[in-house]
Amino acid sequence: MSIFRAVVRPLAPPIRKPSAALLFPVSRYFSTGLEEIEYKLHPQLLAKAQSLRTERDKLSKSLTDDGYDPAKALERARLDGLASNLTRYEQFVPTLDDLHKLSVSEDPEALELRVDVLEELEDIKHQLHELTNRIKKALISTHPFASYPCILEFRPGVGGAEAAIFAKDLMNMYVSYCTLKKWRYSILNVNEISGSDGITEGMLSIEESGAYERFRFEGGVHRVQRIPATESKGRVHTSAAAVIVLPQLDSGGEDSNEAERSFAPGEVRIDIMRARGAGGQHVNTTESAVRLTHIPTGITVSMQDNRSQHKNKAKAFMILRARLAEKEHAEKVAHERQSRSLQVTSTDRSDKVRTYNYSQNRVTDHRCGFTMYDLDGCMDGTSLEVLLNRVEEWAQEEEMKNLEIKE
Amino acid sequence: MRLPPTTVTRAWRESSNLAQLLPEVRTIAGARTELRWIIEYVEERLTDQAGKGMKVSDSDFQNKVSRLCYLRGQKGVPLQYLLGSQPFGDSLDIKCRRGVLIPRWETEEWGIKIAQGIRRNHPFFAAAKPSDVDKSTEQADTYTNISESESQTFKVLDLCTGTGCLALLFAEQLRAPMAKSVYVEGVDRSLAAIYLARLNRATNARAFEKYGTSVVFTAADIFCYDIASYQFDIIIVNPPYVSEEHYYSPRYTTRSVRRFEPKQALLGGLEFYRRILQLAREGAVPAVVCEIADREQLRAIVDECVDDGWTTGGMRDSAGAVRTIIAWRKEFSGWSWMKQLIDV
Repeated sequence: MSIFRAVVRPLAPPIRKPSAALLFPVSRYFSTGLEEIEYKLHPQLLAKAQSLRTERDKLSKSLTDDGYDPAKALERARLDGLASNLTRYEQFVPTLDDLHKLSVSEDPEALELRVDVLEELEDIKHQLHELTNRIKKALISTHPFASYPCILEFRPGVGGAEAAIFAKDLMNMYVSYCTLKKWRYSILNVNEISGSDGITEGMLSIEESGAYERFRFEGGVHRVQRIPATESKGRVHTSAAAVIVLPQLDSGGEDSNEAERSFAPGEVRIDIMRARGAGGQHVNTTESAVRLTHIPTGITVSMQDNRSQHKNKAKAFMILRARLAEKEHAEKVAHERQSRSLQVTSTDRSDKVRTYNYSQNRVTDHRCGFTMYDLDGCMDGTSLEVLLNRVEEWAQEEEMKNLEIKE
Repeated sequence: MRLPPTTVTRAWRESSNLAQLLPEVRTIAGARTELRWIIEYVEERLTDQAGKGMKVSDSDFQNKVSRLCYLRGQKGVPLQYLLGSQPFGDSLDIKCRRGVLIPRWETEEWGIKIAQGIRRNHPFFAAAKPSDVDKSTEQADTYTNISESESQTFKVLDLCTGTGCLALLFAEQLRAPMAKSVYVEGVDRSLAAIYLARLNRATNARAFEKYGTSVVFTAADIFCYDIASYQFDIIIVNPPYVSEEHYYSPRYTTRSVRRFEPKQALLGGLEFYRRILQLAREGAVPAVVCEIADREQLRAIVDECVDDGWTTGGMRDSAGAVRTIIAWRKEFSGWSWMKQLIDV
């Protein structure tokens, strides 16, 4: 774009229709910026945006007629930006067409104005490009859990004790990231392997609204390549740990029974460790482990971190709810994808998402292909932000691409 | 039952502290969890000490941990006495000391169930209608008068309170609506228990102070306690209910309980339930909830201690044992919801 502009401006009004390709043969290999498709929305997207705008108008009409409703007002506010962008877009499109006609016409009057016309055309194209991008972004449906806090689960994969150590390293990485961001977090459950630094299971709750959106794409298998502490011969091993990201639907604060009440009686079986003897005053057990089984889906959650059984139960219910919500959402997404005729790339689950190579001091994200040579900074959370931003950008681009081939 | 030698060797291979814990804790998984709690406790204590400027070395840490593991596993001292506390309810931290019964998870469980039931179903806790609020703000004089009158305070009586855990649990769970308040009284015969309960009230005041709830602990024997002048809404009790026969039988009562917990908080029987129901009659208390040992005791209480006018039933704990007796009187409104808790 900008290259083209810089080139055109010093030229005197050309007598013939200027051809950038003729002047600069190399531009054949690049976009000349003249294809209209770049600036105008795909007709289907346009139709969708227009239908959303009519929906917004209906909403504001019902708000004035039927009285105030906070849910409706919120929905309208969400669509407001889209509607105004769309209106501006519609104003620009005829101007663009007119200007384009002018710029190619052979009329002597038009020829005189050509430089100005071209300049204005560039300007309008630039604005249109921005507008279409904004409209597309608004059309990407926001993730239903985007504004929620989240729970991160860490599990070692292949690689034995080394994988368990790496799972703990990963957990520490996110913990230090949260500390840097000054986000409130709590470690829900850790099963440590005694005698080594590894964990067999770890759960981290990040009580910052919107944390789910931030960590959404962290879920998947993280691979590590390094010489493990357990290795005596100095060979580089490859092991892996899995990260699972769940939305945290409960505050986990004031009302501890909130999560429990969201289930119908009989839907969840609660198992506790049965103490010896008659129970009650006869026994002073410290067994506080609780296991929940969600009968319709067969999901089980065990929790034994706290000395209070009541707290373990509350936490277990919180995790169960998060897992069910995630499962439901994943099923919905899978269903949608199936119903589409075209193959759409998935942004939610990939097998191997990232590699941490210690000997090369390198972190590579396999989805966006971004490589960063600052492993230490990544592991202590300082430069994790860069990585997360890149992944988010990539995900947004993917979504935009999907938007066009969706229908 | 003897511990299998393989378990013992496995524990030794992992760590000597773990092996120390085994005789009392019995399973490796359980011992691991307890060891973690012990380590966390010692770490916390030592960081506290270091913060106060005392010298702390690594051997201090090792010595403390192994000492606690020895006491816990070999001597059978309850972990709650060693660590000095037990988390209870949503945010309470109940201090535990020798001579006072350790709060049990069963008590916590039924206490929360009952308290939540009251909060959701009892008319006292129904949200005040906007019109009521308006009135009370407009007429400031009548407002103070109302809050002084009887109906504006929900009163809970906790007998045999021990550490004060049940009384504090109700204080934490029952949050009075606007212009109303909750009053909880805990009664125990043992002075040691009353002192500990007051300490617990002081350390946990944060949990209930903001709702205007007051908690009072009184030293009194329930057999001489005079209830007449108070208008309590509910009596909650965890009385001593272990029979002599069960107390001395290792099948029912574990060694650690017999050795380390106060006998007077454990040994008891029907005389307590008879007295509790008598008190409820004298004080015109509409509802009573007591912890009990088993189904047989429930039957005996219903047969011998309950008279006409009470509706009674039992409630199970999550381990499946019949753990509480719930009784309420028909002539008082606001308590019939309790029948949905009954499952025996």
